[in-house]
Amino acid sequence: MTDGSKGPNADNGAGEDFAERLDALKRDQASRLGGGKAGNAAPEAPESSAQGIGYALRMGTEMVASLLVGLAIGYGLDQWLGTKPWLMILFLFFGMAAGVSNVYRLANGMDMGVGWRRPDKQDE
Amino acid sequence: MAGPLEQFVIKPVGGGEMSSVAFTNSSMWMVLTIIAVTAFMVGGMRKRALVPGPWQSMAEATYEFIGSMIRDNVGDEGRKFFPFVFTLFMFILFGNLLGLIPYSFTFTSHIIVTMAMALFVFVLVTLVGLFKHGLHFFSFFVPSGAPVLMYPLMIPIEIISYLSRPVSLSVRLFANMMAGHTMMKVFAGFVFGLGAATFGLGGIAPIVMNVLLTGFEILVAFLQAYVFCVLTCLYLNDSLHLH
Amino acid sequence: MKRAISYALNAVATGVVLGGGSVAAQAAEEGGAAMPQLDFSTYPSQLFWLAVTFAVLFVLMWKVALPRVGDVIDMRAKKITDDLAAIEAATQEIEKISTEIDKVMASARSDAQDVLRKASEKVAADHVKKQDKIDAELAAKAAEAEANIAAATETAIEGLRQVAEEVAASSVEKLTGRPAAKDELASALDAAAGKGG
Repeated sequence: MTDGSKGPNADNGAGEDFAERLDALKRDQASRLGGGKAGNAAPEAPESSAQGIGYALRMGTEMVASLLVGLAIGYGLDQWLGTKPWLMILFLFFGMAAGVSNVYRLANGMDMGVGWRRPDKQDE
Repeated sequence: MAGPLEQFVIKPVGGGEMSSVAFTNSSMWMVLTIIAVTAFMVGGMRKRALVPGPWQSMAEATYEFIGSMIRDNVGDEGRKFFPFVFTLFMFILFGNLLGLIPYSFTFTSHIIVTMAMALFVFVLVTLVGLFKHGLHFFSFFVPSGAPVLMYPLMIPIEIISYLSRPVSLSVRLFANMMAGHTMMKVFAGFVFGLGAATFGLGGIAPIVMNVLLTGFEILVAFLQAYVFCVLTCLYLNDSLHLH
Repeated sequence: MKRAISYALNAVATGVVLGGGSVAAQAAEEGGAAMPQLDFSTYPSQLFWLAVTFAVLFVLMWKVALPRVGDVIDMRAKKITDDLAAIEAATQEIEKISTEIDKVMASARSDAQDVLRKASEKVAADHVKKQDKIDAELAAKAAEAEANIAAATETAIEGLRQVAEEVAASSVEKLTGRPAAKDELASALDAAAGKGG
């Protein structure tokens, strides 16, 4: 009699395992097809070492680039308005401030976008 | 012994005069780059196998890589820009990698090339923002949560910050490529300099150094292409969804 | 201005690649010549070829390479989705068949139990019947045997009395010298038998 109770359900354990694997596959496929954006938030904190190096390499150039742009604008305005060298000096400071704020935003995971806010304030 | 900067000299292929359309060593490596990229992508996909081989896997992986980069950073609206970002990535990546071949030329080590690409991205992103949001786009430069009194101070800073994008984008790529190649050349010079003075023994250290540097430069080649494209995506995201 | 830019760019290189950049800057100064990157005469050619090659690559990727990759990936996704659906259907089919089998098995099992129960009842009934028959036979045999024993006892007792009479008669004759009276013998024997049991 005990033999009869097994029958087709004898491999119950293996059956559940298969169902689990099938579910996992389905979820995989759904996520692959679904896509969609993770959110408007700033990029996730650097995970891999490659991304970490990428962030580090970016910091230096942010500062210098902002400084250069500030200088160039100041120089151009000076030429135009004949206020040499005052605007250049003023904009040098603006450039430094912009560079610092860029690096600050980068370090805070808000990236270097203009007008970036903290991620929790973004959905207003 | 050539100077470390001589590798960056641009001259027309096969001699001749420099003109505005002269085919130079830089142009040649640009052409080789697009041939290599096309061969990589089209060659990898020639079988269109359902179960991909190694080559097809790599071609698909780059596709998925850029696809997910756009999806994660821009969202569904970014799909329109997929071919552009993909081209940008492959062009820079293969340009960087082919430039590591001895006696080749790295066109990404020239500021004018990186600046042109960065400015193109900058103009494209700005136009996308203007088309999508009209004049509202300029609210971008008004910092949120700051007192009005601070606006005269904050707005120029934000504008400089915005204008610094193409500069940092291009200078980063150019400076990294140039510095890396210059260092390799300098150490290659040490191989002969130290080697000649010490009967060849002193040349070993710089050779080892150059091997390590080459590995590092391959990493940098990927990293810079990646950073360039991620930033392009982030800028696109800014323009599409003003904060 | 040009020289200023040159210095600025060198400074950038210094800032970006620690240490190495300063080697580059030093080397640039030793070489005396400005960086080839600042040779403006090459700019038009670089820009022209950059535009041409980038545009060609863009069109090649956009129109040729990327659709192929996309097709294959879509095809694979479709295949996987279809396969998953087929697995789903097959799983349901298996489920159905398995319940069917269970049902059939259950009914078969109850049938079998019925048969078994009936069989065991029949066996038990048969057993009882046989037992009764054997009991009856045994009882008959026992009664017969008892009757036989009783008859035999009777005969034996009868024989014993005769023997006792004869023995008594002959003993009386030998003791008294004359034959014993039959009536006396009989009553004496009866008395003895009654006493002795």
